[in-house]
Amino acid sequence: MIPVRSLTEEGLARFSKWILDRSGTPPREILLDDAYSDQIDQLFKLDPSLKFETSFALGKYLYESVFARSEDRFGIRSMNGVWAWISLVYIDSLVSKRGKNAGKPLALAHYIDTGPRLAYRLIARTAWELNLLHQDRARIGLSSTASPWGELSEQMAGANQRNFSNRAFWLLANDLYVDADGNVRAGAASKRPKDARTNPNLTGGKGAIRRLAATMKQFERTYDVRAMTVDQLVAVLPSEYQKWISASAVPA
Amino acid sequence: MAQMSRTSNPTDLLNIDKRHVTVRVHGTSSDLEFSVERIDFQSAKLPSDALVSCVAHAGNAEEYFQLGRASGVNTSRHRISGLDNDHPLRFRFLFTTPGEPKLIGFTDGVRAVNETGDLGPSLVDIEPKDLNGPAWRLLLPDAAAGEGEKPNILVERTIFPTAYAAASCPWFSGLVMPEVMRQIATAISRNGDALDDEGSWMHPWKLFLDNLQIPPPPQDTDPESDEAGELSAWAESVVERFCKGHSVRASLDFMEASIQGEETR
Repeated sequence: MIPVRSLTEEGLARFSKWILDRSGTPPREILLDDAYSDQIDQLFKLDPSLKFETSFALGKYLYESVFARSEDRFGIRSMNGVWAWISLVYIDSLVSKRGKNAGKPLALAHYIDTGPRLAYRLIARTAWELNLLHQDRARIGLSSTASPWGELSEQMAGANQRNFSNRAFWLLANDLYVDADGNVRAGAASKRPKDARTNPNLTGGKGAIRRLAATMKQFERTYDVRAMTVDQLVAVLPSEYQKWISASAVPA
Repeated sequence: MAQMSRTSNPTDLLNIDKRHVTVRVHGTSSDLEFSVERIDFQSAKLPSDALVSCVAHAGNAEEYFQLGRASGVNTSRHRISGLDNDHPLRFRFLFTTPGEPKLIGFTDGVRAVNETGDLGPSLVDIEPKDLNGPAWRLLLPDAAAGEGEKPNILVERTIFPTAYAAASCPWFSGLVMPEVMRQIATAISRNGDALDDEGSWMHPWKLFLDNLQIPPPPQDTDPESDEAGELSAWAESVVERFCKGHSVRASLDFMEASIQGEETR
């Protein structure tokens, strides 16, 4: 176990350069180098040897073990240098996993805070935060083994950021799109085709997660959605969700 | 079906005026709490047994609270220190009938009344900005500006990320607000007639000055010359009376104790 540290400006620059160059090995030598990283006031520790198959698993470890279930959400969230340092520690679990880019880093915002607009894409921090807010229900957005940040992550954490904290949304999403074995149902992340704008009868993407985010936003205008049970929410969903409702009603 | 328009309301959902809801915030950003001071459900045309819920939100963070019935709303304090201090704090109130999740009314964008300190949000705005140097700057409306305009205190965002952070800071209250008061009083002294003009941004200050028991500024003095210093003396009298108020006095006491090294808080 080693104490959690924070990358300095020089450390952020080194890490950023490696991410943008997309070549060579990650600059792990800066993790404990005082020229590139600082000690922090709080004492948090982590095991740098761990590997994580999914971003959810990383987030669960950070929430339960490293930050010991601390409820200081915004104090911990604001430590940008710490999150970049953690991203570098676990970089092997956060790079592209398949295809010709296997082993290469994703975009910069997935490892280093680049501002409010893309803050949700910082994988380690979002995974920790979603575990803090939703515990096991966060799995649906972070359980891809094909990529540390897949389409589901983008849709659930980014498409409508008010849903990020909305417990009702995550409850309902789990009920509709996760099967009894804890796996995300096929098609849950599908999008509506562009032609659907002129031909609404096209069925692709109907009732999928992206649509649910928009539906919940509409519901908020006329329902107290946060006070509703899953059954109440399911009862008011429009017919495009029937396929998912029927699937979730099938006993294990 | 009748044609929908911007003013159609087929669900009869009440969009309730924010003025019927009063919220206060308490504490500092690390231990922030809010309380509902009142909900004027009768003026809002809500039934007395309507259930009240509240979503406190800042940035993409939110906390949800159920506050009981409109006629006896829960006025105790609720912790919201988990919200994002770098974004403005707003409240959305939801009203339902018992046993039914469909809304009968709502109001959005409610701000805490004490976010702007003693002057209150009806008189001044406080707005965090990147000021590139100064810690604060006051923007006054033009003399001819209408009633919707207000003085706007710009505060450096890196020091005060939210309006409440500035309003609740004793150093801000003790050092900045008296000077804000002076600049506003000076502007009023040069346009004394505007206090009685309901179409002027200065009109709301008439009640404020009445409450401080300060008479209107001298009417017969030429603002361009003010050779006898009557207008500036009047503005100073406003500042002195304002500084005698509890909030500024408490801030000055805190500052004095801090400078002298005593722990007061």
